[in-house]
Amino acid sequence: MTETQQFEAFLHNYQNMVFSTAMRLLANQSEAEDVTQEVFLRAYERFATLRDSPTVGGWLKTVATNLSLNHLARYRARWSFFSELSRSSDEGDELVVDFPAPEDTHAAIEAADRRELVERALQSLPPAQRVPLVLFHLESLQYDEIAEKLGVSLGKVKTDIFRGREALRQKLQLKLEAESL
Amino acid sequence: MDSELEKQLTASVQRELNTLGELAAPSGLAARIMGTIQQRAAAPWYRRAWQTWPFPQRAAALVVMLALFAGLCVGSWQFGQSDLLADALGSIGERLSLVNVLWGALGALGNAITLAVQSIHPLVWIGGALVMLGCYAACVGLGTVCVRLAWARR
Repeated sequence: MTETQQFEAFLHNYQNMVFSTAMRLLANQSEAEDVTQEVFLRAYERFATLRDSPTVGGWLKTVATNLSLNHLARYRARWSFFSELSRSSDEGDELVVDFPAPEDTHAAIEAADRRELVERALQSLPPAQRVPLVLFHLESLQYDEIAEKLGVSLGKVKTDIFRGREALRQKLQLKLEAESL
Repeated sequence: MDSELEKQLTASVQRELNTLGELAAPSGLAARIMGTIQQRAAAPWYRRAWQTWPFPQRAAALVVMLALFAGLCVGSWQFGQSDLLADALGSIGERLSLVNVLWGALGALGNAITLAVQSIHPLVWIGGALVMLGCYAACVGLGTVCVRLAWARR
């Protein structure tokens, strides 16, 4: 097996993981594809050392996360400045995303693929909420690590994650125990 | 929301997100990446990053760079020892006198501008600053609206 063939096999093994990481942070397929390509081009340059490394998955995830955040950083000033203003228009976005009406939510959820619904709900969140939420729940980063990575205050990270969870709860009609009593 | 509800919300969201598997990468992505890699590999060595050059070329480039650096050091030292430096400093001094004249003229112009600025009422400055701030905010706002509209149509 040549080195190119080995890399191709490596690429097929990890492409979904890298693409998922980028896609959940960027919520844009073409940008996620570009980030995935850049991650694997970097991996190819270090393939001799990465090939046998037990931490290759972590390396790929970290590079994908950092490249996605670098990409988002270009727009960060805009979404920080307008994060409050955009909240009212985000409600409008929910109408664009084709979620079922509350009356038939239960039946629709039963019929639809639940994961697809969660994925779409996650991607419909504004970047200011989605990015820290994904870093916390899917990339297992702590609040202070997220604040450092995004260059924002700890308080803002906590607030944005809380708002993101709350938005997901509403979109997915999640019931909390205390509410159902 | 009290802390108990918040904990439940966190756990509930975590449960939902834990069900998410990996997204399937687009079918043509691997081919695109391999194509880019092959395209880069086919490029001549001098168009690639220095680290990826063949060893003889890398060694030769290093030797050339070291020779250039040594030549620069020796040249500078020789230049400092010769009369060329004194001649060059003399000629620079002559040109600096012209610079002094220009500097004096600029100073006088600066003083005149300062006097003119001091005679303008502070409210005019504040008004000007507010207009500029308003223009900036309008530009940022319009830019954001355009971006949001563009995203909404995707």
